[in-house]
Amino acid sequence: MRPSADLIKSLYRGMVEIRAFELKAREIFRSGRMPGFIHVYVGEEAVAVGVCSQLHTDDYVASTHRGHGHALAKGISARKVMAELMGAVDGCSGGRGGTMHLYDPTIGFLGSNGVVPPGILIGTGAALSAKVRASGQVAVAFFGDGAVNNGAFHEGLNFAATWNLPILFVCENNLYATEMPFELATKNTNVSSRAAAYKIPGIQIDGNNVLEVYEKTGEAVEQARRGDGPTLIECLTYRWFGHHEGDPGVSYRTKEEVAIWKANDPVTRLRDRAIADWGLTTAEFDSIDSEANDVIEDATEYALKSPQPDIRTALDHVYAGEDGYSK
Amino acid sequence: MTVTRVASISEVDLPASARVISYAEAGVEALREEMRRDPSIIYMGQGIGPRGGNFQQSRGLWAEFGEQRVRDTPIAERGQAGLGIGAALAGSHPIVDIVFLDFVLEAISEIIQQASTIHYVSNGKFKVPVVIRAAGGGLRSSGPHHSHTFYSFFMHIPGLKVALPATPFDVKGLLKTTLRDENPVIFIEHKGLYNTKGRVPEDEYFIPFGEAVVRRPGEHITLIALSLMVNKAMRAAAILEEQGISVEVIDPRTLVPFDKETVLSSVAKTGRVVIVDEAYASCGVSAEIAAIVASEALYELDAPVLRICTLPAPHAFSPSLDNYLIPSVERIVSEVTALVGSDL
Amino acid sequence: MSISVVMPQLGLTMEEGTLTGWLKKTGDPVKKDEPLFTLSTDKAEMEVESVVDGILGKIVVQAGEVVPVGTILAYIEGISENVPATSNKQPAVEAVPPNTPKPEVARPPRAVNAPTDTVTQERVTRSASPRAKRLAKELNVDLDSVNTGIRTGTISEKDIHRVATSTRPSSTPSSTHRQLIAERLTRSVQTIPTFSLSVEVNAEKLLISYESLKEKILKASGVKLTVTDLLLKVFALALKTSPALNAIWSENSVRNLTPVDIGLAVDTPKGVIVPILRNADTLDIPSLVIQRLELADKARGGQLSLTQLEGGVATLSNLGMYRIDRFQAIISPGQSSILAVGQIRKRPWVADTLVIKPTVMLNLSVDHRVADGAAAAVFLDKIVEMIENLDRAIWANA
Repeated sequence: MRPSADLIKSLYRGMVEIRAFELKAREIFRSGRMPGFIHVYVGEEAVAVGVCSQLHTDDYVASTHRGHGHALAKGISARKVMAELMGAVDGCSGGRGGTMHLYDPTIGFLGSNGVVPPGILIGTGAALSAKVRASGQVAVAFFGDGAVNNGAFHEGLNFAATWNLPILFVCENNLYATEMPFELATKNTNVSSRAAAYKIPGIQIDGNNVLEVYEKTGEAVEQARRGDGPTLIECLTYRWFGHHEGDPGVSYRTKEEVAIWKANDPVTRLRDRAIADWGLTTAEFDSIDSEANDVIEDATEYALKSPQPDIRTALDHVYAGEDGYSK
Repeated sequence: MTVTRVASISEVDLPASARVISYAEAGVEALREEMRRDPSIIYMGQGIGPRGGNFQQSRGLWAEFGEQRVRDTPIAERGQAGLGIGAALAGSHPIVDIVFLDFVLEAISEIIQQASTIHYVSNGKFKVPVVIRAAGGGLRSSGPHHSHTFYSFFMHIPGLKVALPATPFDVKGLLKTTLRDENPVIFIEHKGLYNTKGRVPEDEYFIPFGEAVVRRPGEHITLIALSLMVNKAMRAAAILEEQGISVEVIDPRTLVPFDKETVLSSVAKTGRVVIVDEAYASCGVSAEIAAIVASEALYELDAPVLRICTLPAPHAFSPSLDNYLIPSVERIVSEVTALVGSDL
Repeated sequence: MSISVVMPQLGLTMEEGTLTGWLKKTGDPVKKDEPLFTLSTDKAEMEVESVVDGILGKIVVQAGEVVPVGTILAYIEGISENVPATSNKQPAVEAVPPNTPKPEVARPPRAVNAPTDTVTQERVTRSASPRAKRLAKELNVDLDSVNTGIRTGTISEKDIHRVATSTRPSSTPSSTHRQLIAERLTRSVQTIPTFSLSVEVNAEKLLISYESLKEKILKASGVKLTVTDLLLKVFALALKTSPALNAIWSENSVRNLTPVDIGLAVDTPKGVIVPILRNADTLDIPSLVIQRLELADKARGGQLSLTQLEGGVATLSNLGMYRIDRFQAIISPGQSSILAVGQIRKRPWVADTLVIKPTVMLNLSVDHRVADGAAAAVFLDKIVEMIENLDRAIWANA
């Protein structure tokens, strides 16, 4: 079914917000005001937006270390994410988690993660819970090419397949895990082909085509929701910048390669195609750009004003409940 | 709802007519009662389904609650733990049965990196009510990969609770409490205890965490024993009594929270401490208890702290070596005698 | 453990004395009753003996010095734990560990360790467990006074308790009774200028009265009368009518007393104990007997309270149940006289002719600060009179 103009604009809006957010985050980080270190999502926006746009509010998402895009796409406000990056008390995790520990139970966001593959297992577990409860929820586990050679990938996919769990395994294959090229990490560089080993469907798609991501995700979500089990979706994409801020990203990649992928920008591709095939105007997109920028400016101001957590709360929440019992 | 503790029931007060069941049966009863009450409890592990568990520790549950809630898993402890954590985040209360405590190492990253941290780093938004259940300890030369006693690193990490029941009465009471707790709980049983029997009330009861029990009052030395070592300690104490040494045996029952008060007031009375632990001494729970005593009861100590632990070698297979390495009743008797004997 | 040696009060008017010479040097061992030093007063020259076994420690007052009565002259140290400090006035003293080997002359006491160890004035502090150290502080035990712990070198709780119980102050029931006796009577001898009078008394009438009263009282009150009871009554009546003797020396002057509280020396397995019969003059004989029985019982059972032991003006001590004719008793500190009674037996008695009569020897020791010879003589005479005419005395007051 052909996507509507509103959908197009909504997908575009999602992507440019992430783009603006990440560029801003880089800027703040480079100015020395941001604690820790960050992994920015610039270039991969179509995956997060395409997938999360197909999910209900109470569907689950388990994310990675490169999780700002997932968090924003699933529905955490830019203010809350930016504040969390600053370690401020108004962040979505109260400043306690930072970039790799963004959490929001109200929208099923099970956390970005500092360890590589556990998100796969956590997402699978949430799907298990949904199945036992017969709630109709689905889960999405995002992970990169760097996770697929880890035991957790195998165990997670096997569990999901064997128990027929309502989950999507979305691999953001950006060809590099930190500085390791994928073809040096494994002999079988076709991630989607691994699905066959578990007898679940696996597809490889253009991760920078947000409409394709959206469409294929829709099918997989429907399949999961009706009880027909998991799908592995390999999204081919690319990150413009280094693995983390501080990594120039060119010692193990060529400038030419980067340039080619930048030209394959998911944002401009959608925009151009929408103008061409849907009759939307540049002005409309410019206006969306500007709105997105405003949101990010506002979020930045909010985050920079938010205070650090009171040290008297340092030992709060180590355990749940006053004595841990609450049921 | 807070946990109801039926204060008047204690193991010591149970009438002689109270029925006697095994440690394994007591655990199953707890699970059955709680699973009937709370549909969010799910149970997974290797062989815990139709087979009822390697130690019969889940017998009858699959038959009653079915394959949705009671699931056999492949050999994938990390996956099991990760799934358990994910399910907990989504509102279930999963029990992940690792069966042999040794294999918890396959899952340790998920337990420590994920389960113990999420409640804190999410600023209290997510709870992780997952139970990691396993049986530790040596039994009949189970060998180097099936004999370990791992609990010190769980005691080390904030955010986890650790239970260590030594009797059927304690297993049931603590497991029920565990399944009302919204924190990740490491529930450690002992293979050598599954067939032991004890009196267990029919009426519902709970045992709160952080409550040690004095199994045997004494005057001359405080002996803290963990898990199966409680039984050895009691036998040793009986022998020592004949020699005129009166041993007070304390069973902490939970390591986190740990009942310091009972231990410290016992030390104030006796002036001497010995810890009997089947784990290794170095950086173990025995070291932690010794540190607590040294920092909070130094001026009560009349003698150095004594630790009786498994000697620092992998668990040997041959029975002669295995029995030599782990603490024996003889070793407890002779070391306590050496510490106390001439000073009375 | 150590005690101090003081300038004794020897004589009523003695206010100061001259220490004329030390018979021992610091570091010398001394034995109980061995002469320790010589002194002179306005009246006499005399030797003073040591009251304990030990080692002469620091000498405070040198030969030739004149000092007031009560001044500390020196310390005796190295006393084993069973001997207490002699008085409450002992200042804190440097203690030498009891197992110090015999030190050489003029050298300070050495630590226990091998001679090659650095010898300093400081003691070697032995290691003690934390619990022992805490207890030592709480119970006021000097760690250096504790014997080496059971485990080599380390003092434990048990060692502290052992020392603490042996040095508890004399007013608590569990201290060694002998220490108590030693301390009190030594003090008495050292501080009370005593003289004594003796007399032989015709006990014929005493015995007759005793026989008849015995039956009567047994029937009426069910209690068994003894001769001691009659003597107590006589003593009390005598004191009642002799204000000069119903007094004690206190705070440098004579203090007259109103009640007549008499002590009775009771022999117990632990040693002699002197419970006090209060208002003995007002008691009728049956009541006196009952009280005497009760006090004697409690004394033997170690159950007397402090108030039953304190005070009193005089004591009666009867060794007549043994074949003792006469003896001289020591005044209880805080009292002013003691009446020592020997056995009643038939002896030759001269009236106009030589006859055989039952007689009893009395010896009265008196504190010269309270009463002089004449007053004491009058008092004793009164007692004799009452005993020899007991029927009249007793019937008048029974």
